[in-house]
Amino acid sequence: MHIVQTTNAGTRFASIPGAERSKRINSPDTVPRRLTAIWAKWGFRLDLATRSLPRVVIVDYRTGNSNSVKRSLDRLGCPSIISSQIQDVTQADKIVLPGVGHFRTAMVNLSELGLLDALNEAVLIKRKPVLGICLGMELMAMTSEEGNAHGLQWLDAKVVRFKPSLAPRLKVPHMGWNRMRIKKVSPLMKGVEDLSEVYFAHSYHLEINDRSDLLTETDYGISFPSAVERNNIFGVQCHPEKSHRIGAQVLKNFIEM
Amino acid sequence: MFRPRIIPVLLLKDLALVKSVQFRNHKYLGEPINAVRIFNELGADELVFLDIAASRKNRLISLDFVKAVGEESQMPFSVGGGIKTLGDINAVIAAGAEKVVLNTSAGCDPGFVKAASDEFGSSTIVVCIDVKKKLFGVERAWILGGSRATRFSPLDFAKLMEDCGAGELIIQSIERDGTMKGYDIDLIRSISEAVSIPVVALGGAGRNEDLVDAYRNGYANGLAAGSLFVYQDKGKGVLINYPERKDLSFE
Repeated sequence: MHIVQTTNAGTRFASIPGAERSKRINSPDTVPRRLTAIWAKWGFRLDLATRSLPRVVIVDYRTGNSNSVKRSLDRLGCPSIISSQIQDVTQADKIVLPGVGHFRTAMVNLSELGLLDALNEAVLIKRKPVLGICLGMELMAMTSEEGNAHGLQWLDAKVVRFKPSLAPRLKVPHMGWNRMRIKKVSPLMKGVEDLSEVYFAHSYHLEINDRSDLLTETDYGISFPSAVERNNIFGVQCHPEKSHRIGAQVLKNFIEM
Repeated sequence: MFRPRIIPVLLLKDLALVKSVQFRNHKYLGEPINAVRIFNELGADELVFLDIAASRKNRLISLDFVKAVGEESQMPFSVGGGIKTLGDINAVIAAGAEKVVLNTSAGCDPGFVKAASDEFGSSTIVVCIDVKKKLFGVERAWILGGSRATRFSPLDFAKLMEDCGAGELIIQSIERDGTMKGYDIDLIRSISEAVSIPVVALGGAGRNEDLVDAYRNGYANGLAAGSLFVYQDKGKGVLINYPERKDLSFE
């Protein structure tokens, strides 16, 4: 069946990806977008019935940008749910820990929601792939200087603040686009060229003790780990959900793992 | 290598995209969500949306609108307009924005900035400092869409906001707004040298060279503009545009 919509810009065929992309500029409401939404909705239900697609749970710990992450996954056609329910984390095939906010507040919330045991079981025992984003990655460390709190302790690392005296031009937070130097081969970085630019917004960064966990490095006065990988545990300091094509590729890689 | 962000600032009035000159004479440009789509295609670094009427009308920027931007935007975006409670910030972030921009609420109650950064983290809180001279040439930070002066000089206000935990400052020259004559480099540099948080230059950019100038000589970390990205040229028609990486050299 052809799906044709006529707009001011002319007649468009939903099945031509290139054409759809270039004309989206002119038309606020597109057929492919709706199809994606329907697909995501029914795809998810299908998933519940058949378990054929990975069940991705974005953990909502009452801080953070769960919605932006979900929208990015929607765009990739990957069904996901945002949840703070223990049961959903337990049943998840893949877990995303999004992140914006304060370290201690986030840990307190995870604890109050009763999610710590469920997360530890899913990640450390069942070895489900987990992706921490920004604060979500920092939470995987042992401790943080932000609020002097203990983290999930999945990585032998601590979270420290950027020193304001880095250089006159380098401000804290590190906010903007910067390059990732890829340090090891990883499924998370498939199709991502070395020195790709991604979006950062953070005042704290990881200091890792086990160099084998290092996936990418980024320079900002000092060199800090901008992505880490340890078995099924992945973390990125940048915001892939806000990093255009490269960010989408990283999320796609995580989904397809 | 770190590179400065280039940030289109889009003004909203009754949910329409407008552009002002010196905070007056608002011209209608078009539909804002359409602009987001175009900036997606052009690969913009970041967007800022400001509802310029919200504080004066004592209301919050439309959350439905923020949500609509969030649905569409593949880049980070900040939102300002009538944000004055922690609940407002929570609602705007939940609707999909990365950061909130505070102006009136920060000028009226610096303690609110402190409470907000404690709750949401510094990287979420941006303070926009609107700068204009008063009658006898004394520069002040202004609030309520540039309609009321505070008792703070721009520099003192910037330092105070840093102490309160703001994660970023947008320094906007009201006198240069929409003129496309270039940034107020002295103002931007004086603040950038005095604080350790990122400073975004706004007001007056008319050419790509102005962006480079604010980075090299103003030590700005973000380079924001309105007219430059929405007009073909000064006095010409509306054309949403964004510089290509190769056209700008920050080395």
